[in-house]
Amino acid sequence: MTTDSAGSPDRLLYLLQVANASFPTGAFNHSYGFETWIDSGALDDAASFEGACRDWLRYAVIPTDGAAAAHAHRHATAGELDALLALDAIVGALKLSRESREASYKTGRALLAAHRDVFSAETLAPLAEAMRDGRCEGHQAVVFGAAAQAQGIGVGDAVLAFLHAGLSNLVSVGARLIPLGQIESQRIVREAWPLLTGGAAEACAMELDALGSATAGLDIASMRHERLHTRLCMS
Amino acid sequence: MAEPSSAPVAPDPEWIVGKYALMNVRARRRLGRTEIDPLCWRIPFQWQGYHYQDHDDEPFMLIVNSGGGFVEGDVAHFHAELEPGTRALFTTTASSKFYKCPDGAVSREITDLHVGADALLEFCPDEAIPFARSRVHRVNRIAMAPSSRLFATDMVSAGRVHYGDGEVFRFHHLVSEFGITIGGRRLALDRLVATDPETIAALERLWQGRRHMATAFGYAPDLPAGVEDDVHDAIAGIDGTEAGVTRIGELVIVRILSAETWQAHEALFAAWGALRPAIAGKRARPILKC
Repeated sequence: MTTDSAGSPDRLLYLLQVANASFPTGAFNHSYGFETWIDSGALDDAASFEGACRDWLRYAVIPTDGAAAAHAHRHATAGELDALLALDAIVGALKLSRESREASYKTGRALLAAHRDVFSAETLAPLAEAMRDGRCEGHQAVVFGAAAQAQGIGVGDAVLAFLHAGLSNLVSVGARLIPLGQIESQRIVREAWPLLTGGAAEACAMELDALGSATAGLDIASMRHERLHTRLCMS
Repeated sequence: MAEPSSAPVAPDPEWIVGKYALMNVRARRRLGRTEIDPLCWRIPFQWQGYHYQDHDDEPFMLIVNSGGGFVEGDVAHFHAELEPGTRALFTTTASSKFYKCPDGAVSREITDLHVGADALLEFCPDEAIPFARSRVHRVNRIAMAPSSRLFATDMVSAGRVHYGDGEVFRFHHLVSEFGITIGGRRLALDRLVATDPETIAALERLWQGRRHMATAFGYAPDLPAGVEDDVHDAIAGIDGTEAGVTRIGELVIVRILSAETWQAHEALFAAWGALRPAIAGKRARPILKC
């Protein structure tokens, strides 16, 4: 368990607010391909959904976006805008379906916009300018890591909050689509605590050239989502 | 992923003869067609020329590695530069077989392809097969000019799936990377990192119980609207496969999982069939290798 933001109520409150599903990033609209599996009946109860969520977290998010959030935090600490932009390009390139790539940068842009309006983080201005100029897309993991750094959050806590927010949002999508009860949904998130804490530590230790995803089946589900007849989610 | 240089790779004197295969080639326009010049090579890569299988100006080159497979610590490094306006197809004579690495060293397959302005690259290698206890690092890097065109495939099998009781996901280390840049901008980076037992064991589940993962990439600056739908229709319904297709700007990506090798090959060929007229201006035809 990382505790590097402990002792500061403001920092804890910041994390609680920005990682909350109600923070306006639009993440609750994205299933990242899960809607395809739910539509096909491959995921139809809490157990099957929980297993897929854990795989998504362990083999798709932690070694890509989770690690990217950590790198973004460090680049922001060092004031390395060019490295931040290069990281953003890697994050985008790693997403092989159109919808997953769009989900990543749309939620990233929304996160930055909301962050600017709520927290007025001037240190994010160069990143915002690069996004406006088209020098980067502004993927969520990159924005989250840089924004958390601007608020004085430690890298470990930032990544842990990022992973928790991602899982919570996906579980809320599953709760609506399968559907699942509120207690079942919260139990899935609670059961994932060890995976979240271990994953955050793993993501923080990951070298840039080790970023990668192993979820080929989910890539296909995300691609097929583009052609689903009835869709409630954007991805 | 570093941007591959268009300059030929110079052999390092430290490389052990026979353990580090290297080939540098350059495609040039000459006499109204593309010709491929071998700049230098080291065994076990062998230069055996090229031929014009489509009976037009585009040479087909089989990358010949006479080693027959990757013993522990082997490296094969293929580097090609396509000059502006050229077009060429590269394929392999057979699958890349990676044998066991009992002493913990890694076998490496490196492909660097540099595609000049208005050039066409078709890169259709056979699959990589990581045998039980193998340790494999594959890197495919394609650097393209914005006006260039591409059809490329990549395929990784779970192992010798029909050997004995089967050697499915029994390798010990696999990093497989396929990256494409356009004008220095990253377009796609497909990187599988399975270097711990937990991840390797999970792959069968993450591959939906299939044993082969194949990916096709098609790019052209003027890719027609809706061509991705043609690809979708072409790959639909192939036995034993699960597949999806997407389009990101002028890049079409096809992801395929299959139970059998031939099923992935068939799906890749179907994708090529749908994309090749738009990318290369001609129909796909089976590539003959012998």
